[in-house]
Formats: sequence, structure tokens, C-alpha cells
Amino acid sequence: MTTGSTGGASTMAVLDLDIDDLPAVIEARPTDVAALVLLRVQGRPAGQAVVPLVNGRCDTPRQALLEGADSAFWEALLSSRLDPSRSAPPPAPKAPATVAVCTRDRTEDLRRCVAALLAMPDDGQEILVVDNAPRTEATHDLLAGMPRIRYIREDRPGLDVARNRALQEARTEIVAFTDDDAAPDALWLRTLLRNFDDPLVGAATGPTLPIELETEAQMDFQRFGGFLRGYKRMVLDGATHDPLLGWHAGAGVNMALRRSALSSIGPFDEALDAGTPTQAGGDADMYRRLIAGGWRIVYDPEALNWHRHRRSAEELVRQMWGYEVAGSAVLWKTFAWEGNWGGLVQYLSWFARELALLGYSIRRRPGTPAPAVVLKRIRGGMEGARAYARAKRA
Amino acid sequence: MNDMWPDISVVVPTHNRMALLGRLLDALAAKDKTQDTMEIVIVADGCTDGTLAMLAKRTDLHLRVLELPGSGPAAARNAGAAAARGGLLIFLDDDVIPGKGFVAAHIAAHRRCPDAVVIGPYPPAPHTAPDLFRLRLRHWWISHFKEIARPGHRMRYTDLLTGNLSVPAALWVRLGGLDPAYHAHEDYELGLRVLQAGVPLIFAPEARALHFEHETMTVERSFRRAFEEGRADVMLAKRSPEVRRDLRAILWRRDRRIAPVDRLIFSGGGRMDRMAGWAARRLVWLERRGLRGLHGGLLRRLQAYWYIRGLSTGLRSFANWQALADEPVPAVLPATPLQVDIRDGFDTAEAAIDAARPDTVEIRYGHRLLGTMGPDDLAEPWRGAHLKPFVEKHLSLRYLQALVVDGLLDGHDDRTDRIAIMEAIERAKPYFGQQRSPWTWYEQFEQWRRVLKDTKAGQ
Repeated sequence: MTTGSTGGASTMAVLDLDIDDLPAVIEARPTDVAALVLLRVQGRPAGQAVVPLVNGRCDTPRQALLEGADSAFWEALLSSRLDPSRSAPPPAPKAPATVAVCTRDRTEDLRRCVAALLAMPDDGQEILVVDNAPRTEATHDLLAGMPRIRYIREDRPGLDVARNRALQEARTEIVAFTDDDAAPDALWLRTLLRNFDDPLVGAATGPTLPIELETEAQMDFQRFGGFLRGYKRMVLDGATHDPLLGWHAGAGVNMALRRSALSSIGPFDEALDAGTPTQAGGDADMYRRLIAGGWRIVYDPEALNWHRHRRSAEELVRQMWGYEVAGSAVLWKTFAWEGNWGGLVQYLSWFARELALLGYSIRRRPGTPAPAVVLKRIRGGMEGARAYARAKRA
Repeated sequence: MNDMWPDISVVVPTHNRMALLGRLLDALAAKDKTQDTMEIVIVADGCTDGTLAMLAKRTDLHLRVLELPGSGPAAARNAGAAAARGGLLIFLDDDVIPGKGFVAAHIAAHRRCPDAVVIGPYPPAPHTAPDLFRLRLRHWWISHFKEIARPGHRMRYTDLLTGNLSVPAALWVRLGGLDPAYHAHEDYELGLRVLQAGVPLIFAPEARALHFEHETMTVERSFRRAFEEGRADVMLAKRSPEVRRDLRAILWRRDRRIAPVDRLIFSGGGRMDRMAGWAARRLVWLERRGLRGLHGGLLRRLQAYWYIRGLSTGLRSFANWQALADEPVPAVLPATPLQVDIRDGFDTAEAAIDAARPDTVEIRYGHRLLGTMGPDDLAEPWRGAHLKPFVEKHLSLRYLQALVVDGLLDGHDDRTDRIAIMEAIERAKPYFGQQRSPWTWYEQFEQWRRVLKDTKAGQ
């Protein structure tokens, strides 16, 4: 039995396959009822497929993958057939960048993260690890033997505090962020950086896929979207995209920022995100301010990294609760602290949507969560204003 | 370098933009190898801001200055072109700053294709103004040049803009220059004549310049422009009936009737101008309060207001508008289509299209008809380079399915269930194309549900 799964529970395999270089059979563990497959075309991330497995096996991978593939994969396949030169890998960047990892007492995860960071091609990037109010010396000791990594200790707790520290310490124009429980694809950084050739791009983001799908909680998180925003390139521009929907760009686990953009809109809001009563939302608030400030954000579906989702149901529930608190905290900040009525409009429409969902849920419409879950979300959303006020006072 | 174009004339009409014009001249003076033989014709059109004094001090360039009393940009360009001595005319707007190698790139484009009209890109100079009007305008310009630069873009008359344009002087004379009666859309009108004369309209991506529209365009000016566009559209509709398919004045009738509020504006003849002015001043407040939707709606409505005021100036009576809207628009002539087969690759098909330059192309894959590249008498005839992008954009599903039937995606493995794969492509159909935000979640959720519906994880 695999780690984290309860007795007899089903798991899923996570695979990374190239359509032009498929194995003859897919052979996973007997508990794997299906596989989530990242599909590549000519080496570049293109789309995904969900394929069923029988006793952890699939004897006709090509058939199964083509049947389960998404529209992005088909578009990429067609594009590469029509013009193979379009699938070129990202070039080495013109100027070096910084990668920052904010961590707190998760040495085992961090070890995997750092190993993946060091496996990326060396374009002169500097890797910063910001150790945020650690309780032990484990992170410090882990990195002591790694000269390519700069260790920074930030004793004020809070993810946004640590992110701001990383921005201060960085010596390059572009700073890419990832989390300690994530691991980048080898070309992750290069792919993010190619988007900054456009001087209007203030941030670039990318898709994040699960490292493992061992538990119900991990599968649920991924099934309802997770950190993934699809496999198609998006450019978020204030002309066409409401800044309050900035979170469409992605999550802080996979983002790069232009430091000079932040000098006009300010650093991360330290009253938001992990370590404060608002629990999350520092990234969404940053995207909101970038878009409102006239900067563009590019979601580049090839800038791929991997994340270990929360394993237990309790952790997932806490995380979802946190997202609701944070989402409403950002809206209330916009409305009550910045005088922007758009925040209130969005908040009320969120509230109306949740009430409608509660109605469907009570009538047991298929595909809706249990009423208790919806009620918990609504309570989370009503918490935001208070949480932000408390965080500001702290 | 200049044996074929011994002399270049850069023609710049200007109206009270001394500082920007100075920057434009600096950019032209900076190391362009052609400058020895290049003259710059500045048409100062009603300038009262010291532009002439500034120009008098510029001795570093072959400058010639014409003065007009304020006759409008079309007349100013015509006057500049008439005075120019060069064999190649390059038109620049006074808020467009050319980039490195700009002149050389225009020359190179004319060498590749003599007797053509060449347009270069002038996207907005990068600026981050937290201002909705600015952002929307910036987005319009960026999207405009992105579309023109897209491989396989089919040139239309609306792609001819005069801000960064070059034309051989002889061709300019043959075309008859711009129509000075127009105070807006004079470039579209020229574009119509260029396409109808069969003159190639070419995009030269290297002839890059930057547009400093954020220093010159304001909300109020956009209203004035909308007014002029209304007047110009009346002239365009009268001039060439086929263009009516495009004009807002005609597209706006709903159920063949013009909306009552539009009728009121039209007939009011300026009696509501003060109200429009009052509403325009509310824009700032809406923006400050972050009410994006209301701001966008009001701005569009106000621009429509001034457009209709322009229409009413041009048409004089409401009956004339009604008559113009009701007059049947000539249908696009159905031409005999050229048939091409892409089963054996694109090269032969592209060559056939390039040889015929047809209005309509029927694309076949073996005996299957994939689709038709349709006729458009307001656009250039089809070129071979249009084929692949057209298939990719409009026929991707059918083409992929044809490849599946042919066994090209499974390496001719006959154990493959090709019907199932065709069905899978059909399933992905609603999600093809550009991504709209929540759609990606629907698509992913469907993927999961299909596979896991029988297992515990899918419930």
C-alpha cells in the first residue's frame, strides 16, 4: 500500500509522456484506477489526458491517450504537424534571474524542491531560500552543503513577509517564486523568462500539476482544478480582464515577477497569505494590483512545475476554507480600504452564486458538494473582512 | 544600397506637437544609412506652438517645411506628397517615432515587391497607465498589429493606416492620393482603392515604429474622432456600396429599425450635447470607484452618441439614414472556386493558390470537402500563405479527423479504434480555440468524470 492512502482506497498514477515517444504499455501500481497524464508534443507540454487503468495497466496507451486528450493537446498536435519549428524549446535568457523559495519547517519537501531547482540548466540564475521564522535549524543544515544556494533567514513570520524579503535580497530584474512543496520542470524558469521580452509584462505564471495522487483529498483538489489554469496561453490585460479576477492567472507556487513593476504598485501585502488570519491571497492581490496598474500577466502553459497537494481530508478542508477567507479578504480590502466599489460588487455576486449553489446542494443536484461543505465555504467568505482587519492590526 | 530608390521622402503632417516632432526628427537623424539622400517633408498644418521656429533650427537633416492653414491630415499628406522629390514616399504620423533601420526596412520591402503599398507596425510605446480609457486604447492597438502580423492574415482595406506607410511616388500619383473631404477614415478609403486596383498591400514587420498615442489621445479627442468617423462613414457608404456591410451606421439597425434613442440623438442635432458633456464628466468618478462595467458602457454609449451626431451632419435627415440602412447591400459575387487537395501535403495546394490568386478556395482532403475559404470583396485575393493558418484556425477538427481516418496519427496501426478517436475529437470541439476563463475547468472536470464515474473517486 502506498503512503498516505487508507486501506483499500484507490490511487491514481501521474505520468509525463510524449505522444511521439510512448511506451508500449502503461504499467503503474495495482491500486491505480486511472492515470493523469501530462501530454507533451515534441517535448513541449501540450495538454493532458485522464485514462482508465485496469489493475494498474493499460495495454494500448496511444489509443487511450488520444481518446482522453483535451482540446489543447489536439491544437498543439495540429500546430506541430503543420509547422514543426513552432515547438521550439525556450531560449536561454538574455539576463540571469533569481529563483526564490519561501519555506518553513518542511525540510523533506524542500530537499526535493532544491534538487529539481539545481537540475535546471544553469543560466546564471541565483537561488534564494528564505527560511521563514523556523522552529529548527534543519533547513539551515540541509542547505549548508550547497554553495549554489543562498540561505536567508527571515524571523518575522508570514509568507508575504518572506516574499518581500526575497524581492529585497534579489539582485536581478526578474524574480521567480515557487513553494517548498513544489518541484519545477527542467525548463520551467527559461519558459517563464521568455515572456518578459514584452516590457508590459509584469508577471508570468504557469500550470502546476500534482506530484502524486495518493489520497482522496489530493484527487479532489486536482479534479476541481487545483492550481491548473489549462494548457492555453492567456494574456491578462486590464482592458479585457477585471483585475479582481487576477487569480485566473494562477497561484504563487508558479510565478515570476518584474521587480521594476513592483516599484510602482508596491510589494506584497503583509496582511495577506499564510501566517496571517487571512491565510492566503497574497498572490491574487499582487495580480490584481499589477493588472489594475496597467501591467500584463502572461499565463504560459509550458512553464510547468509540480506540487505535492495536501494529503489528508482535514488539511484540504482547512485549505479550501483558507481560500474562501482570502478571496473575500482581498475583495473587502479593495472595497473598504481602497474605496473601490468593484470589490463590493464582486463580493455580492460571489455571495449570490454561493446561495444558489446551496440551493442546488440541498436539492441534491448531481455534481454539487454536500450542503455542509457549501455552508462552510459561505462562512469562510463571511470571515474575510474581519480577518483582514485583524491582520492589519497585527 | 540606394541604387533602386535613389531618393526617399519622409512625409510628416503635424499640428501643434512640437516636442514629439522633435523626437521624431532625432530618431530619423540617428544613424540610418539612407539619411544622406533622404529628405524630410514636414507639413505644418495650422501650427501655432513654435513648431516652425523649432524646425528652422534643425540643420542636421534635409528638411523641407510646408505651411497649411489647418486643412486636415489628408490634405496635408497630399500636399507633402506633391512637394516631395523622392521616388519613394514614407508617411509618418507626428506621434510615431521610427525605430532602428526603419527606412531601410521600408526600402527592402519595396525591393521584394515593387509597385506595392507597404505598411509597418506602430504599436503603442510601452506605457502602464492605470487608466481604463488608456488601457482599452492600448489594447486595441496591440491587438490590431498582432492580428496583422499573424501568419496568414488576409489584408483588408481597414488594415491600411497612414501612420507608418510607404508608397512609390508614381503609384501614389496613379492612385490619386487621399481624398481630402475625409477627416477620418481617409486611410480606409484609400485602402479600398488600393485593393480594388489590385495593388498588393504588404506588411513589413521590420519597419517598426512606436506610437506615442498615450501622449496625444484623450477621451475628448476620441469623441471628436467618433464624430468625424460618423461623417466619414456616410461618405464611404455612398462611395462604395459593398463597404456598407462593415459600417456601424448600417450594422446598428436592429430588426431593420433604428433604435429610438439613436433616432432621438440623430434628430436632436446637438440639443443633447450638454447632457453628453455632463455624462462624460461622470466617467472619472466611475473609474475612481472601480465600476469598470459602467465606465465601459458609458464610454461606448458616448462614442456612439458622437458617431450618430456625425452621421446626422453627413445625412441631414433621418429619412436619409433610414433609406441608407434599408438599401440592400450588394451580395458578394459567388466566384467559381479553386479546388485544392491537401492530402498529399500543402506545397502543391499553396502553389496553385499563389498562381490563381482566387476569391474562393475549396479545400479538400482526398474526396472529403474540409471547408471553403470564402470570398470577400473588401480583402485581398487569397494567397498560398493563407492556407495553413486557415486550416489551423477554422478547419482543425475536420483536418484532424481526416488524419485519424487515414491512420496518420496511429502510425497505420490497424488495431486502433479510429471511430473512438474521432468521437473524442468531436467531444473536445466546444473547447477548441482561445481559452475563456471558466471553460478550462469544465473541460478538465469532464475529463475526470468520464474516467472515474464508475469508481469511488469519481463520486
